[in-house]
Amino acid sequence: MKNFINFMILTLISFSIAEAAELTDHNFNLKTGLSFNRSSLKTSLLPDSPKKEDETSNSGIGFYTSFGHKWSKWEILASSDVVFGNLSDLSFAIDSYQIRGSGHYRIFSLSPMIKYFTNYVYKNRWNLYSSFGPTLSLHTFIVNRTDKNSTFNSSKRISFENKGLSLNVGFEEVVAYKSIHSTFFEIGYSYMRSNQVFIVDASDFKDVKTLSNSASKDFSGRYVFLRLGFTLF
Amino acid sequence: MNKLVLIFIIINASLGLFSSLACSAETPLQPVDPIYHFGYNDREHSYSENFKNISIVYGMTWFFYPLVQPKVFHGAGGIKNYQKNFGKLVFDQDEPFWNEFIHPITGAQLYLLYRADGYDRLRALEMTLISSSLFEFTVEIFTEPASVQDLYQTPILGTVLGYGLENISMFLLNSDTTMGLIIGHLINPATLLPMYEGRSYLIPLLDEKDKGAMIKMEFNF
Repeated sequence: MKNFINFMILTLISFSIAEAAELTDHNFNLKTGLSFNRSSLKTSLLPDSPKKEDETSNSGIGFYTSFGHKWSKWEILASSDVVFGNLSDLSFAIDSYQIRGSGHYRIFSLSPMIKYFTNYVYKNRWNLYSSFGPTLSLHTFIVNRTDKNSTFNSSKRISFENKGLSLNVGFEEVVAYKSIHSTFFEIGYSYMRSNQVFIVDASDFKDVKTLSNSASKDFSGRYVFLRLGFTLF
Repeated sequence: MNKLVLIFIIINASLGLFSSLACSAETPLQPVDPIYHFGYNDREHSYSENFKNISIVYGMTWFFYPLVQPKVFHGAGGIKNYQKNFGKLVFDQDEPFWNEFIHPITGAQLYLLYRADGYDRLRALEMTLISSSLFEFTVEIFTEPASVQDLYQTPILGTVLGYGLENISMFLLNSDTTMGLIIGHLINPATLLPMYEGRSYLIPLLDEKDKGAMIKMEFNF
């Protein structure tokens, strides 16, 4: 029954977006760009760092997309970042797995947001705005080079499903028409905390299997994003 | 599908607009190939047209998905899986090959398919959103629950990719080179379908007295 209700709600949302677009022509916009990320990850299990035992920082790069509807000052949008980065000195102990080594990570985040455009326009061209909203994300670690004592291997992944909040501030170019493809750049800050952790086996990339799944509050991260992009239409 | 061919303009040779194509009275007349121009003719669609197009794409997903995922009929898939996954929404653990490559490419081709049928960019995105949501919630659940990544990335990232492919393919198709035509059609195969409405012909007309051109465009209803 719960599944059916979810299905109906999501179907209604899809059709509402389509219907809203029919009624309010050309106020929708699609944006894309590059996303640079600096994250500070914290967990009681990670990593063996000489400075702070439970904290590590990493950088990544990826792409940003958003789809929103704008009124004169306000905009509601769904935005997403997909970021890839390298990771060193990784150390986890989850269930029966001792995970030690280095590798890389990827983040998928999705945020429904409200954006407000201020009256401030720098040099009559760049309009200052701010956006805010909840964030859902999946943070996946891939361990390529494992230590001798590790019981993990490179075909397995550790994924944290996180919830959090995001705040962004940026400038968007003021243009007469959307077809001019206005540019924007923004700085974003997100805080996310895990609610579930997964160990998955990706030895067959066509059929990734979940080996274990448990509740977890151990993992949290502070993420700073720098985004640079433009309006497609 | 009825096809209505509209002949828009017949330009009289006396205007001299296509004088470069003119043959002198002394030289024998040569047949001239039509010049194609590729583009998109955005137009309004009725609800019944939208419904018909979504139904066709949806029907195709029911046909093709079991072909590429045979476990729909056996193994991990099947009716029990369908009931278990119906209405469920999760973060999938799929590799980037699927989430950042295959799904966006599928979304891009869906977007280009709707563009070929005369939908403007925003409407094409909406139609892609509806088609991919229907697939996620009612077809793919034979093998796995609907996922947040696929629901977002297929239409949104797909449209971003489709937008790029659309521009590149139009540039190549209008480059008037064989390789441009091949690659242009390869990355945007919807331009080969009979439903594609954006191709117009410029047909030089040459006879002994008159020289001119006819522009011909096709619309599907």
